[in-house]
Amino acid sequence: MLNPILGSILSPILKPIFGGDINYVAQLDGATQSWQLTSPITLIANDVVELSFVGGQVSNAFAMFLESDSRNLYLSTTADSLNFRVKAAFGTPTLNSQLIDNNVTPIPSSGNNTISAATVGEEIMSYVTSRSGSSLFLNLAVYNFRVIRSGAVIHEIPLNNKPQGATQLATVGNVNAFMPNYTEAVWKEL
Amino acid sequence: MSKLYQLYAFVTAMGWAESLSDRWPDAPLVGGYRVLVFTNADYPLLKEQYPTAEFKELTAEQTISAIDAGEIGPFVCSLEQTKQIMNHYSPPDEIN
Repeated sequence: MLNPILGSILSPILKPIFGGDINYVAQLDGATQSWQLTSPITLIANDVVELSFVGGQVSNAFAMFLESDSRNLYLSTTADSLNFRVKAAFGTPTLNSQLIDNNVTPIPSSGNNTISAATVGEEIMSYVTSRSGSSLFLNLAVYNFRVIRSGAVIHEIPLNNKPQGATQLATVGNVNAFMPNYTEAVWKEL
Repeated sequence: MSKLYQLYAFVTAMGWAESLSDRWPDAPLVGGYRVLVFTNADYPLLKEQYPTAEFKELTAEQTISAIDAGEIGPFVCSLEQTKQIMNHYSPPDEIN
């Protein structure tokens, strides 16, 4: 058995080589980066959209966690970046399985969290977090984007595969995600 | 190994169109300049690859003044400086 002290020294060196339990998330910069879907996803009524994120201090007003192209539905921050703001057309939004109270539920400052929301009607979604060219960029690390229809996952993009780089491949469905203005510096250990 | 972090360079839209758009196709347009994203590890390599470019590291306010004066750059900034400059030219959207 490996000496514990030696193990603690070698572990960070060996894990990237041999694998192990290091997980990464891409920390968006809040200025130029978001996840752009390689083709738009059409949502129908009662689809559930899920996204996990690492809690932290949001730097932009109205930073988007999720939004449809029409912006008929969105889940963003409030102007002071402290609470969740929900467009009414996004039905039953939850944070860690608890109902989000519009403008009241605080954005977690740490930990791993999951938001989800059911759609009310048909919507097109081309981005995870904010669309390009917007000032509504989110600066948190997001991962595990999923769309669930009638209880079955129809789209899943983990968004945490460091070797895949700027284009992250779906594990369910055929829509991938691409990060404009990607650099290797986005990856942080989870 | 030193910590990897992102840097941002403001370059003229013309300079971007002439020689940089293939490498940075998604560079956002801010105040008539394009913003290139790269890492601190790339920085010395960029200086070698673009030997005629005079990389300038100014404060956010100085960079805004230089952009307003139409100076060539590139102006290299941190993320926080970049956000200040972006907010100067494109104040945050208000959404309903």
